[in-house]
Amino acid sequence: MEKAKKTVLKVFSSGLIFPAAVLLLWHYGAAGGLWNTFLLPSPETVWKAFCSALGNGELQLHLYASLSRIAAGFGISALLAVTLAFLCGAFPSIYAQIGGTLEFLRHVPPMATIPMLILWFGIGESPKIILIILATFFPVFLNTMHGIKNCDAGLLEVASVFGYNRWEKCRHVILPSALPSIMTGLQLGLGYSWRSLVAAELVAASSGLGYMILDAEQLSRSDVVLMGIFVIGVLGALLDMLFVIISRAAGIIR
Amino acid sequence: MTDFISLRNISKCYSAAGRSVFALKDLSLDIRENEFLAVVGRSGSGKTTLLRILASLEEPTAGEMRFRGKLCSPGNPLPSGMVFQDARLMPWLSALENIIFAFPPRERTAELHEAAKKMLETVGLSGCERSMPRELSGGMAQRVALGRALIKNPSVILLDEPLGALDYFTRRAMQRELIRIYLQEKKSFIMVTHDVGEALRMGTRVIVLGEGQMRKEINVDFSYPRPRSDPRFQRLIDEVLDAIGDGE
Repeated sequence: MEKAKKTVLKVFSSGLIFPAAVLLLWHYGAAGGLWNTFLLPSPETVWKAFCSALGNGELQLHLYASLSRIAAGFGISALLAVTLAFLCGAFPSIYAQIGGTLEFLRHVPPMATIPMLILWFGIGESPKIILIILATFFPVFLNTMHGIKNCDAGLLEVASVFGYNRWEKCRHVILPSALPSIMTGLQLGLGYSWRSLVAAELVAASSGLGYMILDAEQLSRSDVVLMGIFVIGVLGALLDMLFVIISRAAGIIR
Repeated sequence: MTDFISLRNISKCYSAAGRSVFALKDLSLDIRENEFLAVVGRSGSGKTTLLRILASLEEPTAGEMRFRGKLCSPGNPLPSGMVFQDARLMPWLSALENIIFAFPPRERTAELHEAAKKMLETVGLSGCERSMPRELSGGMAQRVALGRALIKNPSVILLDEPLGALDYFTRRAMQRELIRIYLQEKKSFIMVTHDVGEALRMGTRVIVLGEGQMRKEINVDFSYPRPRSDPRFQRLIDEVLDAIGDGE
């Protein structure tokens, strides 16, 4: 009896009940004709589309294209945002000059810049990567700035007493102190980069998960659209988990 | 006149809300080698400002500080180690790494690791090398901070109410520990405290500050330990309290 109770509790706390219920509702709703399966195909049809794309190598091709763009966009953005935040933290006059402009840019949706990006950078990889950079930059920049601003002044005094110079204080006090905030920013930024992927691949792409979804829309393949959405969601969640695991292993977050 | 540390006509003025407030006013003081100088006074009497000037964390508005006759400046600070009221350990470093932190990376040597281990022993924390600051009690954290201040072998140890945040029993134990380390290390200790008993129990000389000026100087010339029941101790407490302006 006690064992059964424990099992029920385990199932409830696992977080599997809600997705399982949605999946069952979806399955029986589609099978029972509760809606038009052209608009919302059954889970089996979506699974078949997944297996077919995986079997003919199409999915891997799109995955590779998207992951490459995310790696480039997120990598460049993270580097730019962290560096700029440290420069602004070390030299407040820099922030005084660019703070207003950054605040303006922060409120511009990256998608609104697509026409100008195409005009300036053409329809190659550049506008797609720049779009991801724009979407990722601010969460990383703002969280890094927050971490730097909240560095305990007492710890900086300790470093001063022991003769640390400005660079050493930055490297050995401010950076480790701001690291949890930087990691939060990077984690958020990674999520934003996935969210901007479809918008980025709207720009005359011929590969990528966003392109795959848009192409399927043109061909009225709602099963492939849903499959693409699931792949993006699952991959984003997996990358986020990987990020947390690596951060924990490195002792950055607890 | 001593040539160890001399402060001459030190003043420190802060501007707040359009008015100037003097934390220290024309203070002159000689600090002797190997003495345990305790500085007492009410809040706002200038005790901490004095210590921060000695640590080069603040520059005096007027006056000069010399160490062995040489003028101290931001580029040539007093060779000191400091312990603050809160231990101020780097939370991401272990106890051992926090002691090593006393040396900026450019000054670190291969032998430093062993020296830091020995320092942990000196402050009574052998076996705690890998403990993180969150795993240490208040007293243990202050011992690490003391080890960090001592490892560079500075001429002067500055203590800014180092026991102020500790409970009564830990405080008494740490007082004994500080006296033991003071006798062992043979350095000048300068400690700011608001606890008159603590100042007289630990200091070889006690100065009383009031409104940024020296009100009284007392040489405590009887040996450790100094029990409260000692009539000399009681007499000195009354003297210090009178100087602070709290005699009853």
